[in-house]
Amino acid sequence: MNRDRHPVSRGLVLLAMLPWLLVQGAVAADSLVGQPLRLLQGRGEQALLLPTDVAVHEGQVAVVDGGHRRIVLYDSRGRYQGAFGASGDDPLQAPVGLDIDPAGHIVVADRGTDRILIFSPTGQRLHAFAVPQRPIDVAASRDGRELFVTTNRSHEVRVYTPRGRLLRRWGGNGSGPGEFRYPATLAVLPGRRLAVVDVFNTRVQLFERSGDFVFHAGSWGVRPGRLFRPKGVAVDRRGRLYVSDSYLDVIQIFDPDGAFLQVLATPGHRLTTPTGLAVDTDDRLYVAETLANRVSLFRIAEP
Amino acid sequence: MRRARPAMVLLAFWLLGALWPGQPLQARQPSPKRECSICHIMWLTDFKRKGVKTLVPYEPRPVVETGRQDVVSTERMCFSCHDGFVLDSRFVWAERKHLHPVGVKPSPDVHVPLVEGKEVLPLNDDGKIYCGTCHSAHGVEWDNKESPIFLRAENINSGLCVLCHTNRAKGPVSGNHPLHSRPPHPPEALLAAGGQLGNKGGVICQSCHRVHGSRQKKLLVLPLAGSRLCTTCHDDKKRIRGTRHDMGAMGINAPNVRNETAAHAGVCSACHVPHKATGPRLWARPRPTGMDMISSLCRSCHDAQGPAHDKTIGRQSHPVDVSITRVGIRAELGRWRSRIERLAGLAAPVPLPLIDRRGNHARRDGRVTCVTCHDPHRWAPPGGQPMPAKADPRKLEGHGRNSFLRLPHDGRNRLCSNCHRDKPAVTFSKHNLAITATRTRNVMGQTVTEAGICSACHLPHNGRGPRMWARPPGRGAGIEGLCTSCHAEGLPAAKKQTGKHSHPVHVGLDRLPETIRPRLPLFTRQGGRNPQGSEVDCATCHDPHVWEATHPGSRAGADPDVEGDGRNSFLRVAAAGESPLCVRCHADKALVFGTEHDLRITAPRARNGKQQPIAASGVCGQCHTPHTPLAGVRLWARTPGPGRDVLESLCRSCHRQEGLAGKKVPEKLHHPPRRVPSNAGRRVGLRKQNLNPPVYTVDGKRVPVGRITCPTCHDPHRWNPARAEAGDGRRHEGTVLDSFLRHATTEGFLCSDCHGLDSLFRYKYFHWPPSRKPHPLYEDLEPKSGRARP
Repeated sequence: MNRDRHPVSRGLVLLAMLPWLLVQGAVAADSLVGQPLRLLQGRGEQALLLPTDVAVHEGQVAVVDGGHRRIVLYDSRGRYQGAFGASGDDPLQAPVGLDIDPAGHIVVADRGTDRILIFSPTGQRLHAFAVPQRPIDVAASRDGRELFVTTNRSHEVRVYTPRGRLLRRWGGNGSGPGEFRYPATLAVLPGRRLAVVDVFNTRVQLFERSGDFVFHAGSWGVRPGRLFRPKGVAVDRRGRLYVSDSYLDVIQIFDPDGAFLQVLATPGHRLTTPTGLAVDTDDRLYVAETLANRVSLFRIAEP
Repeated sequence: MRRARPAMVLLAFWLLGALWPGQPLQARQPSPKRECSICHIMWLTDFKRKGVKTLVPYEPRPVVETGRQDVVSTERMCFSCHDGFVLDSRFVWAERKHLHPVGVKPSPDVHVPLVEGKEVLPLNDDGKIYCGTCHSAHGVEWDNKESPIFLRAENINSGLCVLCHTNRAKGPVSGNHPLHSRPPHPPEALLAAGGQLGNKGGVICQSCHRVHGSRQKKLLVLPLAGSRLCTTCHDDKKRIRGTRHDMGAMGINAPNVRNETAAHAGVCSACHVPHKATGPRLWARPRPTGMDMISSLCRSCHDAQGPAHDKTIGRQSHPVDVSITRVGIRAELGRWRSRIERLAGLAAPVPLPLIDRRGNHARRDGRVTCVTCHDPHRWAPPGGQPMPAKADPRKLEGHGRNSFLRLPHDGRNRLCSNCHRDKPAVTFSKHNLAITATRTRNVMGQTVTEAGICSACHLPHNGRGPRMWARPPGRGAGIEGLCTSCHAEGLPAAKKQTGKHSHPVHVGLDRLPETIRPRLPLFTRQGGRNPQGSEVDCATCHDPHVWEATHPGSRAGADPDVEGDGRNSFLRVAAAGESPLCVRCHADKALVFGTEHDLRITAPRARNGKQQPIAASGVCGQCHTPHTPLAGVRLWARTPGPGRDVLESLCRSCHRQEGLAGKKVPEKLHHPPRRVPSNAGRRVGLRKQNLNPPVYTVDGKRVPVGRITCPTCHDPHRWNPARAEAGDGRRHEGTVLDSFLRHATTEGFLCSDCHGLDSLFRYKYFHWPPSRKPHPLYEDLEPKSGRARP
C-alpha cells in the first residue's frame, strides 16, 4: 500500500482500480443501513461504564461492563437481567472480551488476572483456567469444544478446551500473515473459520480452525475500507464481516472474502468508540460503544 | 445488478491481484512513518490526496474540548490504545469526572516549572493543561517497563507532582500533610484502593491521590465521607466516631476553613485538612491568638463563641504551656522519670504527650498542653467508662472516667498523680475528704466519691478560685481563701480554724536580710507564684497534700481524730526539734537554741499551753504557736503569768514563783510606769547600729514613746548581745554582759538618758540580789513596805 515502496505507475493503478470503483458504486447503490432499535445503557446501579464487548445467544445478551469490572446480562428485549463478577472473593479485575458458547455458558477473558472464566447462563462461576499471556478476548467454537483466545502479551491466538487444556496456538509479534500486533477480538465464522482483529496491523485476519492463515480484510488508512483502530469483529448469517474502528467511530462491512463493502450507515445515531460487536440469529447488530457507556442494537436493513 | 456484482468483485480482485502482486500476502514491514502515524494520524497521506474522502476530517491542530493541541495527545487518541484491547487504562476514564484537570489553566497555586525559560511541563497553545503536559512518548525513559507511562519527568516519590504543586511539598510548616514520613502501620486499604507509598515506604502525593482513575473528588483514592481515607493510616483515630468530638454525630454544621462540614467531608475534616491548614496538626479551623499552639486549636471550638461554647475551660483552669520539669519530671526517649518520687508503691508515670513551642511533639521534656491529659480522638481511656452502644453523643455528659482523658481520673487519681508525684500522699491524710467529709460536694455538685479525691478540691477547668479550686473560696485572699473554704465556721473543717490570732499572712518578706532565703513558697494575693510581690500565705508553711513531710507515706494523718503537732500538720518542714520551719524566716531567733530559753536545756519535760512536749512542738513551739495561741501577743503558746503589761505577763509565764523559771524572778520586776522615749536611731550615725531598746504599750505594741518592760532590756532569743551565736547547751548564771540583755553596756543606752552613769548600778540593784542592800540613793525608789534582801 505504500506507494514509495511499491512504485507502480499511476496508469496501472487507475486501471486496476476501475473494477473496484465500479463495485464501490454498486455497493453504494445497495448499501446496508443500521437502523437503531434500542440502547442498552441503564441507570444507577444498572448503568454501564466503558463496555468493551458484547455477546448474544438465544435471546440472552451479555456485556462486559469494563468500568465496573463485571458482566451484565440482558434479555432479547434489552431488559436488565442482572450482573455478576464484580464482587465475591475472587472478582474480575479487568475483563475485556467475552462470548457465549453453544450451551449458553458465558466465557470471559480477564486480562487483569490472566484467566479465562466460565460462568453459567445465570452468572454462577463454573470454572476458570489461566492464560498467562494476558487474554483479551475469547470465542467458543460452534460445537463448544474449543475456546479461541487472543493474548496480547504473546500476540497469539491460543486454542483451549473448555477445561483449560492448550490444544494449539499460532501467531507471534509481527506484521506478516498469521502474525499479530495486539490481537483484539475474534469471531467464529460459519464454516469453521476464525476472524481475528489485528489492532496495530489494522486488519482482520481469517484463519482456518487449525490456524492456517486464509486472508485478511482491511488495511492501514483513514479512507473507507481502511482501518485505524480496529477492535471488534462480527459476522452475519451471510458471512459478512462487521469491523468496528474505535477511533474513526465507524463500522465497516467486508464481504466473506474480505472485500470492503461499505461503511455502515446508522442514520440518527452517531457511533462513539465502537468496540466489541455481536450479531444475533436475526442479523441484528450489537455494538459496544465504550466511551458512550452503552451498547447499541441495530437492525441491518437489506436494500 | 445483483447477479453482476459477484462477477465484478471477482474481476476487480483478479485485476488487483494481477497488477499489485504480492500485496495481500506480502509480509509487511513496520514503516517508520506508519509507526509515527499510529498516533500522529494527521500525518497520513490519505488526508492530502485530492478527491479522497476520509472517515475523519483533516484537522492538523484541531480544536478539541480540552483546548488546542495536536490531535495526537487528545484523550480520544490515548483511549484508542488504552481501552483494554492494547493497554488497559480504563480506570482513567472510568471516573472521568475525577481525572486530573485538563483543558483548564493552572490555578495561581500551581507553579509550572521553567528551565532556561522553557516549560518543563508544557501547556497547550491556550495555556491550558492537557495530557501532553505530563506525558510524552518522545525523549522519555522507557526503561524496561512493559507499559511505560511516558511521563516527562520521573515521578519517583511524587517528584513530578511537586514540580507544579510546590506549595504542597513543604510539609506541616506550610500547613500541609507531611511527605515521606512512614505511616504508623501498613495502610492496606489505602494500597488496595490504588494508593502508593514512596520507595522508602513514606507517604507521597499518590498515597492519597490518584492522578487517573480516582472515584472521588480531589482525585482521592478513598472517599472523604466517613474519613475512610484518613483512617486507613490513622487507624487509632477511628475511635472519635460517635463521640462528642464527632461533629457530624453532634449535628454541628460549623464549616472548616475550606467551608466543608463534617457531615460532608468526614469527621476528621472538621478539625484537620491535609493542605492549607491554619496551624499545627493540620488544623482546619480559625484559631484564636494569644495562647500556645495547642490551646489555640482546642479553643477554636471550646470558646464562648465556638461550637463547643458549653464546654469552655473558664478563667481558672489547669495551666498549659508549662514545662513538665516544673513538677519534677524528666521526659526523655519516651520515658518519664520523676525526681520527686516521695511515695513508695506509686505506679510509674505513664508517658503522656508533651509539646514544644511550635506545637509539635517534644522529644525531650516539653510542655504540658491540653493534649497531655486529653486524647481528643478517644472518649474513654483504657480502664475508663466507654460510651454506651448507640448512645447519642449530644446527650452524653462526661466525667473522670471518660471525657477524652488519657488516663482515668477516678478514685485512684491516676491522671493527676501521673504528673503530680508528690500529691498522692493526700490520700493518707485528713485532707482526703473521703475520710473526713464524705458528704461535702464541690461546685460541680459532686461528692468526693463521685469526683475523686483530687476533684474534691481541684477542678481542671472552670475552677472557682486559684489553684483551680473546686469549692467557693472563703474569707481571705489568695491561698487563705482556699483554706477557709473548709476551715471556717459551719464548714467541714470548722474545728480546725486558725483562731482570732494567727501567724500573719499576706505579708512580704522584704524586711528579711538578703542573706536569708526562706526556701518556702510565697504567693500573690491571687494565689499565684509570681516571685515579684509574693507574700506569706497558708501554703508557705503548709503543704496540704502531705500530712507529715518527713514520712509522706505515713497513714497516721488519715485518722480523722488525730491531732497534729510540729512534726506533721501538713507542714512543709517540721516545726519540731530546732523548729527548722520557723527559722527559715526567723533566722535571727535561732540564737535561742542552746540557751536557757531553749527548754530542752532548762525544762526538758515542759509542755506548752497545748500540752505539747518539746519533741512535738519544737523549741519555738514551747512559747509560740502559729494558730490559736493562748495569748494573742507574740502568738504565745503558754499560759501568761501576772504582769503590769502584756509582755511582762508573757515572760512571767515562766518567770514566776511556780513557773518553770521560778528561780529567775527579779526581785524588782517593774520599772516605774513612766512613759519614756525610745529615741530610735538617735545614735545610729555614731555606732552604725541602733542600740536604743524598744518601749511598748501595755498591750505589747512597740511604740516610739512607751513603757519600759521586759523586752526593753532583754532579747529573749539571744543570750549574749556581744556574740551572735546560739547557746552552748549548758545552764549559766548570767552577768550584766549576757543574760539575754540587748546590750552589754549602758553607754549610750536608754537608761543613761535619765540615769547617767548610775544606770548600771541601778540595774544591778534591782535585778542582782547581792546588790540589794539599802542605799540612800535608791530609797525613793524602794516601796515603803519593801525591804531589800541581803
